[in-house]
Amino acid sequence: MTAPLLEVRGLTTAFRTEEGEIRAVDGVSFAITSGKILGLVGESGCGKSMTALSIMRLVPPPGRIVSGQVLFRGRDLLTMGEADIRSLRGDRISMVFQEPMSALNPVFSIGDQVAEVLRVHRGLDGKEAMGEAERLLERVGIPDPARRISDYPHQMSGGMQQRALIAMAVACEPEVLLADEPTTALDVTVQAQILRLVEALISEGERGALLITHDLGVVAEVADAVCVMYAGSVVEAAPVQDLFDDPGHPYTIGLIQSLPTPGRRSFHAIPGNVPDLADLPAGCRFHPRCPRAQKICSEREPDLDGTAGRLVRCFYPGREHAAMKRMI
Amino acid sequence: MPLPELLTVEGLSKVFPVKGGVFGKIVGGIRAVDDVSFRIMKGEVFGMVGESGCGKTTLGRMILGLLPASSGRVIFDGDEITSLDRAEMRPFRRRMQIIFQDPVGSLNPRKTVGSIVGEPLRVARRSGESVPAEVEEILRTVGLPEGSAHRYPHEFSGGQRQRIGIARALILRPDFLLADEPVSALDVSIQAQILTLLVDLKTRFSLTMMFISHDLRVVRSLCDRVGVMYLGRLVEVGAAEELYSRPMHPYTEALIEAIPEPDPSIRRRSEGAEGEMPSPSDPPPGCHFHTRCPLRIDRCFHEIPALTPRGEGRLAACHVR
Repeated sequence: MTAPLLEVRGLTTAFRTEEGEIRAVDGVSFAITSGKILGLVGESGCGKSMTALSIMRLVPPPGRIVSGQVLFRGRDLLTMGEADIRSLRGDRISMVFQEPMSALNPVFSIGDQVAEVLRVHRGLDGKEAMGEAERLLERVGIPDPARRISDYPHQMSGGMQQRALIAMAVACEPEVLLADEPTTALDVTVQAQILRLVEALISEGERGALLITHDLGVVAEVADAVCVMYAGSVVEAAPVQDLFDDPGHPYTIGLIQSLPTPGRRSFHAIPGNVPDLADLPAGCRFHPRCPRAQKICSEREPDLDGTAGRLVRCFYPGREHAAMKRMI
Repeated sequence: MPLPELLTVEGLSKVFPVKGGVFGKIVGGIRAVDDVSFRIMKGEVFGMVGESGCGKTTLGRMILGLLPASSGRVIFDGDEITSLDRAEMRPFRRRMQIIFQDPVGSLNPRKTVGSIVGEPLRVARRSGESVPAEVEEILRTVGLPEGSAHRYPHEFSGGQRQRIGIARALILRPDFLLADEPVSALDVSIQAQILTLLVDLKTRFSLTMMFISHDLRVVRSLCDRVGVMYLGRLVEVGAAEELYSRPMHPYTEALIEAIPEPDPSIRRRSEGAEGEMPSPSDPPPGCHFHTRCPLRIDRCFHEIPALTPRGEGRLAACHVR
């Protein structure tokens, strides 16, 4: 077992609102290891994107990181100076966003934007940087890079924009890649191509990734391990095969069951809605929607418990439910 | 015995003019929908799938008469409706309804839910009088809580807002419901709630449905038959299970192959279709898919393949298969 590249411990990010302080990320812990993709799954508002922004120290105001550690090469990113974190960002740790169009600068060519990263972090001169940018565009699968290098973002398709953004993210050979819904805005055939690209980038070097997605299919396809988030906290963490074979948390089970099954015109819904973070239920956050909630579930919040790599935040986790899943 | 058909689309096309120059002269056209023909049987759920820009939404708008067709015909229950004016269209409007992807943008934020849902009824009856009993009933039917009629759209969650949209569409008891990406904006756990509701309502109201979606998993589970569109053209039609398990058109095959399967044990290593969909403003000649097709032959570069019967109700537009 290799040491993790990046370790998140008890990360808590809060926002002050009129209704009081809400915790968008509440005590989240996980580790990103070399050569692996960690999937972070959950529905909108569960805190998965805010987790990535917290790691990068890019939490938008009025949000702030309240507690926790983000350890990278033995240093805590959350306590280091602004200059230090800035030199790591985009260099050793980089991020790919969902909407490539809004992440790219519309008034600079793709080549300029990739070269900029290399000039800032690698100190290359203009010509060297452009040469390297062209090589990177080729690496991420942009056809005819010598010509496309002078294209502006609006001249490219969504898939090509996302490739350019990935080229920027990996320009400095980062050790950690944070990808926030990198394929959600893309069509399914292009999504498959981008996922293959992310996989290739992770397997080729000393690099690990956090892949944030709402799509369990994407997780099943590329992730090695998975954290499932619900209402700000991690409710289950497991190797990907285990998670699908034997999900432990009733929310994970519900998510897997809510995927359409071929040849069957019935859809298994999780009743109710995701709770308002400003008005969380007492006890387990999932208990109002949980089919097996007991009295204790509304009184105490369960711990994220289990053996290494296989953690569930539930008083009644279990196999018997996985067996039921197959019966239904 | 074949079911009688409710909707027939014949050679439907839509060309959006492209203007250029200082005087806004029409310099060209984007063929968003290109000679599309298919039928939907009574009681059927017909799925139309394709990636963004394939023309599926434009096609839906033309079928409902919300967008004039450039050419071709739409026949609804025996009547041609393509050439009707507003007044002539009115009786058909109440029989054909639509639900949209964005439940927020399609609901007026300043009106109560009761007013939004009751509006089609008031318009159809051309009376200003309120229709609370019918509104209450339909709101109950779509699973909204008691007292919803007096509240405003922003007080509801995304899933509940889609229920409001469905209530508004169904209050006139239509025969045909066009659902344009109705669950795409919703979270997975909520999607299932809305899909379950649609399946239930289809039976209860004897609806015929056309379900437009880019989500191939949902379409497979929900639909009886499925059409696949690529760059404005219909490239394949078939029974859902048949089409998914034995795709005929190489594009259908690429699409299905690209669906991420929620099963880590069957990971794929291939990339599926190479490249991306060309711009609709400059589609390739011949078969639109030839630029990405692994099976292309010379003929595909210049000759448009016709959508031809392949047995058991299957249609495909491919020179090779």
